[in-house]
Amino acid sequence: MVAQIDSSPKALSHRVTLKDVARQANVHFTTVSLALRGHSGIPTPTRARIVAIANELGYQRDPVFMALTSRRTDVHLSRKVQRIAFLTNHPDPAAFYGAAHMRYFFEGARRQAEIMGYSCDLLFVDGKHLSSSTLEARFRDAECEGFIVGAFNIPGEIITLDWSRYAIVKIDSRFMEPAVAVVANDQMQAVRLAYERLHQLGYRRIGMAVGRYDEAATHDLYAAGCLIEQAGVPRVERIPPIHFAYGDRVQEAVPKLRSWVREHGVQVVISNWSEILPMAVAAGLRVPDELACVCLCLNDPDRRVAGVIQNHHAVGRRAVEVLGLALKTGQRGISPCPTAVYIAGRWQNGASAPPIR
Amino acid sequence: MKSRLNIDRTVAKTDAPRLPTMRDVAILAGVHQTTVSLALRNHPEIPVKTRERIRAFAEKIGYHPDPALDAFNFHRLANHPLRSAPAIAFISDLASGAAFEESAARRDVYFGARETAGRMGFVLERFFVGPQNLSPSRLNGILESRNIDCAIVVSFSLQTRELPLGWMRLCALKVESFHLQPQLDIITADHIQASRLALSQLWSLGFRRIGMVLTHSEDVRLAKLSRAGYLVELAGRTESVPIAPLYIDGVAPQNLPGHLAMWISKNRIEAVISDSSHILASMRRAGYAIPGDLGFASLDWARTDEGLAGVEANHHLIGQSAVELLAMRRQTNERGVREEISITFVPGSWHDGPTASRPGLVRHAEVSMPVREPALPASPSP
Repeated sequence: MVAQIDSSPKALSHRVTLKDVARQANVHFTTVSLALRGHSGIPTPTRARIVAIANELGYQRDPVFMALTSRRTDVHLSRKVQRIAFLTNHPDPAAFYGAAHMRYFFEGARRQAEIMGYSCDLLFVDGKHLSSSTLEARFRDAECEGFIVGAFNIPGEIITLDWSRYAIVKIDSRFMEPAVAVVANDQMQAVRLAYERLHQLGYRRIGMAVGRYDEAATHDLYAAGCLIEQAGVPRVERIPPIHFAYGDRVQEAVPKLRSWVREHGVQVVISNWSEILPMAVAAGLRVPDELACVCLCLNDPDRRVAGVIQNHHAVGRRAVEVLGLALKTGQRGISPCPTAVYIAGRWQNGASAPPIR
Repeated sequence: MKSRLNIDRTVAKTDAPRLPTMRDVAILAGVHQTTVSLALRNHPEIPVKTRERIRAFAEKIGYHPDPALDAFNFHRLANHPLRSAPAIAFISDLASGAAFEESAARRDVYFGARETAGRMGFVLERFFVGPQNLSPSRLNGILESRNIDCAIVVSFSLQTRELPLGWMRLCALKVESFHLQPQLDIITADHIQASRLALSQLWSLGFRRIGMVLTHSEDVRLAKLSRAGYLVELAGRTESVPIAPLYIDGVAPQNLPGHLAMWISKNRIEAVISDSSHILASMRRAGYAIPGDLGFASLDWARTDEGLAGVEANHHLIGQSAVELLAMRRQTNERGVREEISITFVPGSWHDGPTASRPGLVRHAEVSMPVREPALPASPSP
């Protein structure tokens, strides 16, 4: 028997359903349902025939519908709120909540989850509390099908799961598997915004100081912003950026900063290190007279420091939005075309970089 | 009386544990169930105070919207199209549909959006604003009177600086259109990734002196992202020299080959990356054999370009993502201009082609190699 496939535009726009398969196979649609689920009540030859017809017609189970019906039976008992998880590899809750940006990521995520009707659990993946194997069990128990890899640290615990079972979104964490959508602060926009505003304030010798680690973690977005802004100014104003090495702490970075400022006559430094102001002071430079300072990763408004206030809440919110869309459309596992979503920050004038007359 | 009856019924059923429903919230708040639904989805028609009151009741009895049910509704329309499906406005500032379709990229964004809209129970409808077409206020009138509350603003030109519509009632996104006011979330091809990919592919083939040929207005319109990608990819390679791009705006077509030849020989260019596939013909007219004398990669690669190497942007996915995100935000009534702006970058993919074969003879005044050595990766030019 050859299945006749109606290829009129109307039929093409219509998704193949169980009933279509039933009509073709000349059985009731419940038979199709049972056959496709391999029910022993249906004779094997019939099952094979129905499966063949379903394949031919291109019938596909709708993962969203499956998720709904699988829970329909117990809806009158204690329906659980659908859970999503926010994973962190911070060593402990104190470290997590002590890092303002992490706290904001999570708060934003939880707020958006509430709007969309999910509950958002914070899980510590640090080898002590949870590891890859216990995490899978945890997800199974909580019927959790989607999670956010929340700005994992290097060094830190890394997870390896059967990615194909989950909808996954990463906040930063570009260094690790899996290849899925990433949501992050827009570091390139922050650098470009800083250049633009400093130019308006009258600065000309603008230098950028970032960590090598941060460049690698963002796929060179700081450098991209710096290079494209420098391409628009006279060659003499293009100050080569300074990169602090992996593992550099403030005490190692300070002398490097000092000699770089002296060598290039830097008027103002743009940095993603939140300690840039005390570092300049430690380098024996008067701020802002000898060196003005701009921080690219301010968490909250602070009149003393000029820079870019990052919208970490929005990163968390947007991550849940992307995750929710994946859950709704049935996307699981790694993405063939992983998108990157960047959230812009906003400029704040501050005493550390006053206008130049 | 009516509500009393309902309460009794609720009580009667509570022997078996039961989850609170929207109806329970409605009874408590003394409003209709549909009002609860609208209020919890933040609908502007419901006064803010009422919304808050209803939300408080929902919280009190522990009612939550069911995301699985939401997801189901999200998909349900696929099989049961409404008689009058809600429309999504697809807004362009080009002169006409014909002008819009001149670009394969725009066409693919449109098809991606239209297909997804159809699948989700929407109708995608194109509108053209501009001096010869609808004025923004006229368009706004149409959107309002037809109750269209979703809009995708697509690839606006630099000439249009703002699009004043009643954004408060709209769920809206922009495709590209970085410069256009108002500030809305943007979905765009990842132009940084595309030019990085093109450059690294040419580099791995052995090309070293790689230059960009761009249209300045396009470069500005796309926030100079292609050039940023080129610069940052080159910066990561030792012995690399960034070459200032050649802008070809305003160069008359008959002068273009000469213009290109001058830039190519002055900078000893070995390979060209361009945002326009058309430039290939002009380079050939200037007397360069491609492949052979020069390598070429297009950032605007399309299936119809035969023999071309380059990066194909996923325009279809851009259109699809825009509609999916709008449909989801419409459900939670997230309308208007947002406080924070996000940009979604959709990556492209590399396509090999004869125009990017290993470099052989590079024909410049300074370089005179008598024999072509096609198999060898070229060392950097002297």
